[in-house]
Amino acid sequence: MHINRRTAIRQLFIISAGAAILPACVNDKKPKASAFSNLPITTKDEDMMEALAATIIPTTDTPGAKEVAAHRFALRMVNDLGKKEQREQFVRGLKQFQDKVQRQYGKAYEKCTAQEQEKIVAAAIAAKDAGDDAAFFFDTFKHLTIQAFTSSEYYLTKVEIYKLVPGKYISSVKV
Amino acid sequence: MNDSSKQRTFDAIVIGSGISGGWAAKELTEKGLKTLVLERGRNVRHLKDYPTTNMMPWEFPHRGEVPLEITQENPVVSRCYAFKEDAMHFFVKDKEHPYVQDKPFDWIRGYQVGGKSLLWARQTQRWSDFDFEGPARDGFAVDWPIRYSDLAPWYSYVEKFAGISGDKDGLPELPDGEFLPAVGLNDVEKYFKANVAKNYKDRHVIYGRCAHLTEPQQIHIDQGRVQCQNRTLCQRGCPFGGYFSSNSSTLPWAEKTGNLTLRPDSVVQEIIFDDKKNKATGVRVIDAHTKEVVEYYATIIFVNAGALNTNLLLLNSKSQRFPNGLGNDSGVLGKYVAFHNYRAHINAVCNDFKDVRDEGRRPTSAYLPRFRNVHKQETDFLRGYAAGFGAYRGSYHDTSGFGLSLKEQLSKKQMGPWYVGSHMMGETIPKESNGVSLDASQKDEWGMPLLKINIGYDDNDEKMIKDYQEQLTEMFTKAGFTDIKVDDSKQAPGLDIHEMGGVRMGRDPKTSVLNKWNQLHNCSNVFVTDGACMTSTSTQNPSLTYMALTARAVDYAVAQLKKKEI
Repeated sequence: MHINRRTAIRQLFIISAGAAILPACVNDKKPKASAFSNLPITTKDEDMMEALAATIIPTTDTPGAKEVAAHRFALRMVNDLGKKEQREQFVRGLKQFQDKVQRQYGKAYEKCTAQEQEKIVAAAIAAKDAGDDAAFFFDTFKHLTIQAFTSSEYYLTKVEIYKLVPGKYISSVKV
Repeated sequence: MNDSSKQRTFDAIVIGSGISGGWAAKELTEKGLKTLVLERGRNVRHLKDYPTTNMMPWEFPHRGEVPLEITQENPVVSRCYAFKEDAMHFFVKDKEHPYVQDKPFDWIRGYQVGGKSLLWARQTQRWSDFDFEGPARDGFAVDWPIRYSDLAPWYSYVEKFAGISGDKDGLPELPDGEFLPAVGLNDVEKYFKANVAKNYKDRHVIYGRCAHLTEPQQIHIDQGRVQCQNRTLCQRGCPFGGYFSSNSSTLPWAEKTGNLTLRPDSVVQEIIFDDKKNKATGVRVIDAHTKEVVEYYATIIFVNAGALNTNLLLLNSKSQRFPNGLGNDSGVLGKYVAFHNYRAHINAVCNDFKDVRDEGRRPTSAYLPRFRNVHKQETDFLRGYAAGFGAYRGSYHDTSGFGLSLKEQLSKKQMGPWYVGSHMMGETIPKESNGVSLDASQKDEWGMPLLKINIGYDDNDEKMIKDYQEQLTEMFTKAGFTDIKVDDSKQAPGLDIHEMGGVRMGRDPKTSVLNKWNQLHNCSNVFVTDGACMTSTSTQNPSLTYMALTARAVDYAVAQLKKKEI
């Protein structure tokens, strides 16, 4: 499990690195559908959400959302647990979010610079009560990104250690 | 008798391998009886068949939650608190085993070796005479044919073997037992205990007694069980055998005697009654997968199929002598089913004790024994309720913002206030109108009529909910808790998973099905010792009482057998 996960993450890096050097015409083909059967999204949308997750919890000298594949967890949860209306609103919100970025910056989120991405996310947080689909998408995605990160193997073995076998219960500890 | 039927003949048959069936198996095999245990579900072997037991949180694709497709297909079981990604393989899915609900009833089942003993909440409080004398004093159901003194030695007997953690509290309404040390209450629970004691002379907050090995004795080590590690992942099956289950305890013990034959995937359709011999001779079984029908024979039969399935089986066991179901001369079989009312909750905040927290996890919490109508009738409703009580220190991450600041915030939890909460466990009154019957036309895959369940709340339950909310609010207020919120989940009966009765014990064969030994009044070699036997429900979590009744009934049955009375 441990090794498979590492391998999977490494392969993910190789694939995205490979994508960057492919000629543009390859990307002009019909976008590939993603693996999430209940969500009509493309692999390009997934790339965008991977980048968005990395802005929310960045990689520093320690792993961030990207290393724990937080966007894949978020998508799995929406895909498998979301009700039909929620899934539809999530996808509509994703498009709305992407369109807004395209209008403002003339490019896709994942192509924006880190500074631009931070501006976009700051604006999304400021607009969290807007009540539109984009706000629903962003809130849901941010919440699930945090859940993915704080329940990841990295986090629960290095940051806040989860004890499968805690042994003693201590009824009173000074704080 | 030919060879084939000889091979299918045992001294005793136990139908069901859950918490009471496991005890029947242990007691019968220890007394030297060749015993066949029939379980309708698959085999679950201790240690070997707990697939999720050592999984880390991140190994669950949905971090414990259940995918929508499953919850939509199985709305009933999805309402159960323990039906989560780590244990859903131990629950019956609605779709696989349909039943008919005349009124909403959430029937939660575990069809496998060990049954629901793998999944239970492990609370083990004794009954007292205030409970056994309830129906006679208050004029409902029928008088219990036993009293506390009949069961007390058997409580001790099963407690020593199962391993019960508890404090000696010295309360007549909740007798002390054979206890291993308590894990303990935290500071806020201790404070509430003291505050309630100060304000009410008849109300007590105690450590909830539970079936966990806090200090294993030789008898537990002999079972292959070791100390509870406070994992609180019990519903997955415990690799330490830290809590009591049939799988970790009674079944392997029975197996060691060499007298046990365990046959999983065996759906019992009928108990065969021989009109000439005037007793039950065996059971008819259909294989859950091959659908092959086989008969097994025995001198004694213990029915431990789980309360409502025991009703179903007896109702479906029709003969010339018993056209309305085995042992049902009285016509009360399937009637007077009751349960526990778990609808009301209360939550609040405790603003003190900011300088302390607790650490680790704990398999139990605090408990308030029934304080209403204990010594005499004093409210406008009959009987009363026990309550669970727990305090926990909230902690959370500040999830505002994004980027480096958010990442920093996620690296350490903030301490919140202490939260306190309680839930009610109300006694419900068994009534003729609350019961189960066989559906006239619909059958399941195994040829069994579907069970029709017609069980609802009544005015007494509604009054009790209101009283619980008022009394707990008063107690919380006196303790200085704030932000007090009460609720009524309106959950259907059944979700308490404490359904009881339908094959009740009693003194009079005209108004009950079982005698004081859990023996059918009119078919002396059949015993019912699961929840179906209960005359009334009181408020305590019932499993410990089923265990004690089972051990007592086996002792009697085997003595009678030796005297050739059966």
